[in-house]
Amino acid sequence: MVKILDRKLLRDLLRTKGLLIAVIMIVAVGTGSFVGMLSTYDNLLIARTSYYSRCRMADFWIDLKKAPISEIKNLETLKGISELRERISFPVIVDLENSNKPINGLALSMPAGPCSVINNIVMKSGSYFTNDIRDEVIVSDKFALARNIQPGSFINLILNGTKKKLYVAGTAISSEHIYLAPPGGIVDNPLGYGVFYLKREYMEDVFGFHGACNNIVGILTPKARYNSEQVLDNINKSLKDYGVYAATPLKLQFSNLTLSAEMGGLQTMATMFPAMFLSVAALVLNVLMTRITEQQRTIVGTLKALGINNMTIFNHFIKYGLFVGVTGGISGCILGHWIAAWMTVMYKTFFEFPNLLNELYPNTMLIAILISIVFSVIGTLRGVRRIIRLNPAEAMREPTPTSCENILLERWTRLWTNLDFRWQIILRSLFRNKSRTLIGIVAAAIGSSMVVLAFGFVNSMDEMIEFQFSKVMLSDYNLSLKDDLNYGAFIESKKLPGISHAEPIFNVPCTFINKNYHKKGMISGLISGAKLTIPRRANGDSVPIPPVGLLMTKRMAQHLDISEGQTVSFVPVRGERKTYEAKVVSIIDSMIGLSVYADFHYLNYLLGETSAVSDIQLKSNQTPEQKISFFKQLKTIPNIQSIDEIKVQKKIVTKQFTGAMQGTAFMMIMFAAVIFFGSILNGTLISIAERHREIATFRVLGYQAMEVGTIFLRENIVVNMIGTIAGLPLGYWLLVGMMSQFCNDAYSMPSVVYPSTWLWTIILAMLFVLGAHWIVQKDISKMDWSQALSMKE
Amino acid sequence: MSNVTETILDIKRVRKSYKIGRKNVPVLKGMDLKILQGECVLLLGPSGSGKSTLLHIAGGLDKPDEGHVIIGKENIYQLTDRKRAHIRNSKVGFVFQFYNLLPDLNAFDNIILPAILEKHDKMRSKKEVENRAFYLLELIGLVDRASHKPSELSGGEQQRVATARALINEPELILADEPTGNLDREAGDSVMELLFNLNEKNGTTLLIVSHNPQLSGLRGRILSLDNGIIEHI
Ligand SMILES: Nc1ncnc2c1ncn2[C@@H]1O[C@H](COP(=O)(O)OP(=O)(O)OP(=O)(O)O)[C@@H](O)[C@H]1O
Ligand SMILES: [Mg+2]
Repeated sequence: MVKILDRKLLRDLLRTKGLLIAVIMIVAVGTGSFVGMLSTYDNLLIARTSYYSRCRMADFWIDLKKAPISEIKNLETLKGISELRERISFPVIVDLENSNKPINGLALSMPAGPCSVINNIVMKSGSYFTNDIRDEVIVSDKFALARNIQPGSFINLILNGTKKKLYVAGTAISSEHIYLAPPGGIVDNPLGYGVFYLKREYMEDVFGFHGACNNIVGILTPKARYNSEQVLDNINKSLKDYGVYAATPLKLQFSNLTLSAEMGGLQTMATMFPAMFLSVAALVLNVLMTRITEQQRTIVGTLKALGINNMTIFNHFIKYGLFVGVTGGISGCILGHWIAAWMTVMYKTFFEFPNLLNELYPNTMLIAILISIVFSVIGTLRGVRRIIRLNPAEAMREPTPTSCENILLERWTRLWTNLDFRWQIILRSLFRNKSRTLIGIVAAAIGSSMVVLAFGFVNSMDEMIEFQFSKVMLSDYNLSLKDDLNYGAFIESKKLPGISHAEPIFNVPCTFINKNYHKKGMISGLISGAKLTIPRRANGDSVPIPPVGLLMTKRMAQHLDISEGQTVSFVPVRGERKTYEAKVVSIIDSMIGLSVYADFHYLNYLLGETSAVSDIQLKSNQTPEQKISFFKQLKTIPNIQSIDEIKVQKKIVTKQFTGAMQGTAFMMIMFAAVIFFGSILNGTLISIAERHREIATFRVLGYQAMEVGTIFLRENIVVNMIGTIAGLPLGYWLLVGMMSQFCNDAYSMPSVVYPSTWLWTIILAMLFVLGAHWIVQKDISKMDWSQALSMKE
Repeated sequence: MSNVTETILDIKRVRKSYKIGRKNVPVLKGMDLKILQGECVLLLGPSGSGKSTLLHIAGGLDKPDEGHVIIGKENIYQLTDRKRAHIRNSKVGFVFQFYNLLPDLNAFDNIILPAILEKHDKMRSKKEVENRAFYLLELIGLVDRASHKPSELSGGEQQRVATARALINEPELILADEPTGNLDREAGDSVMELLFNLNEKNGTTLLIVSHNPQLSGLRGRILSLDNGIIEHI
């Protein structure tokens, strides 16, 4: 029977359809980002969970120099360990016929026959080891695809300094390499890095590891998973004679860490975005509802006079918000599913899963619709409550017009009388509709913060790349050597074709200890006055390498709770594992890894070495021919473990990070546009409707539609520029919050906003205002103002 | 029609003043008025004398500062908002100067509006409500305009629809505020005739206020409101 009022509701909805669409769009984007990001999160979570259990993903990884397998048996008795698997793991160099450049890779041992080991592999093509041939390899699928390596073909690997021709049995993926980056790198590079699974016996022979291993992975008992650190500590202790380089729990394992950071980011955005959009939607709805109820004051009064009770009237108007919530929510779900599809496809290029699908999550959608309804209803509440609180007699009376009241500013006569009358109109209108003005400002602030955030993502990424590749790592090639060689090898490297400058590095993996804190890491010995690796502070200032003592990355210093001037102990994972001490001379910044630097000779001296070299950095000035022969020669140097071309690395990092970021940033700017348009259209169209008569008067006085429009345009510029500027710090603050999600031991994202971003945000906001004004102007131009004059308000 | 002379509306020592700026302007200064069932009372008074204020207070639309209003047996300002709304809905019918029809609804829907939105003591089916609406449309002579929107009706027709709306729940008391204020002579006459007829034929109690002593076919008890006090003429 309430149908009659519903018919009225329908007319109300139709009458305000333009405004409604604007609000619904904002709601849809809010719920859309909620559904989209949570669905993507769930897609990743489901894919990860099933992949981890399918591969029997380890709970921890131990890298060590060499330990007898018999030792594993002892470890298995440790409390908290459920199962262990030992492996042999070595860096390899791939010598492909179709590539003149040597390529880095990782060789991992696998059992000869397929069985359900920890960190098992999933075959993608070909077969597991056939065992017909001794020299067999299974290649990581992404690398095989990128390099066009087919099962049944042969590839050359340089294993332990000798080139071996291996039969490719198949290609495979593994859950420990969902995200695969070369050691020291932070992005995956399918063309430049691969994993090569070799039969254990084969590796034993090649690397001389009979009855020994250098990598242990294990699964913890369910209870021990909550304090894996404790178990890892115990493992560390019982393996201390075998040189443990690193003991990594699952949560810090690079692939898992990267995936988790991404998922964490998604979760944050899945709360932040909807909160921002739905708040704006609620605010805009508040403006709209206040207007509608104000317009229908007499109707409400009449209904009350007729004895219709407040609840019925309340329900009637709340349905308006309900409608916005439901339609916005449902369209948001559709949009969200589409966003999830897009993001899931994007993630597929980063993360390798056997099956990452975009699923439908009815629960998420239901929650999304509920949230959107709640926000929309809250948005309608204030306007409805206000009108309902009036007693019927009051409601039926025309409201006492506020338009005659002077605004505070008018008391400042000197200023006021000097203002152009159009500015007087604008200021009056802004101050008289205080809550509408405020809401316009808040919406603009949120919109602009979103633009800042979008640009800030890209800026921060650029900054990280810039810092790392143009300020810290200045070499063209990094060679890492198998054993610590002597200075001679370094002198030789200078003679390679086209090399203009070379610097040696002495890397010493070690455990740092301070008070109760300890952390695995590495000290890099750089020659004094090194030009190819320059430690720096975050502001870009270079920090000279002290003749004695260490430079330590801030994050490492925090781990160890140490500050400048204090002394840290460290135990190198080499030689006789004595404890050494060194002073932390300065704290520096690094965006990748937990670097610690020392003087090359000081470090050598400290460890009782004479000019040991573990890595070589090269600066080149090569002709293409020189480059080819350079790589050819590198392939023949037996002690080289990996070769990195920095330019290529930079290109890959740039392409991968900024590529993905730009997509996200574009989407966010579109979202911001929705906020700006929605809020401006709503506010202005309502303002126009209210000021029909004022506009008509102007037209009668001979003003053109354009000139009248300018008044509204100026009003919007004032409101939106104030909001946009207020949104700038808000955006920065959000960026800092977002980026802290992406800070871990492997890399730390800076939160950087370039000055041009502030400018761009203001320019974009201005464009949005002008764009919205174009629609407003059309509305003003087609207004029948002659009728407005004779109309009774 | 009946000889029972029960009091249907009892206004006791009602005071009401409005704040205008910082000044308190008294409008009703201790007003007493008793209306018996079946009476027809006309309250005349110049513009601004407080007629509408009185009518609103009498009908439960506006709270008095002091005093009581009793409709039937209920002291309406001691009731909750909800109960007061219920009394307005079931016992009182309003006719306003500006008709106050809902512009989106046609004549028929406007008429049945008060009957279908609230629960009633006298439970009626949809059919009954519709039958009564048709009866009322016939009574006001607008059967053929049932599906017209207010904007498609003349002022007089709108006021007659508003009157029918006031009658849909068979109220005991009709409060009419300048029912002819916006109508020309002829249209006004037909509305007044409708109201007087109701009083005579159905015994509906009427309280009509107007600033116009030339109101056609004056009858019943005539009072005048001046300076916040009621005087009998
Ligand atoms: N809500 C209000 N706020 C302030 N003053 C009010 C309010 N309602 C009524 N008044 C004032 O109270 C006085 C009586 O008003 P009321 O509307 O009752 O007069 P009236 O007799 O109905 O006049 P008319 O014949 O013009 O309808 C007037 O001076 C009016 O200005
Ligand atoms: Mg009046």
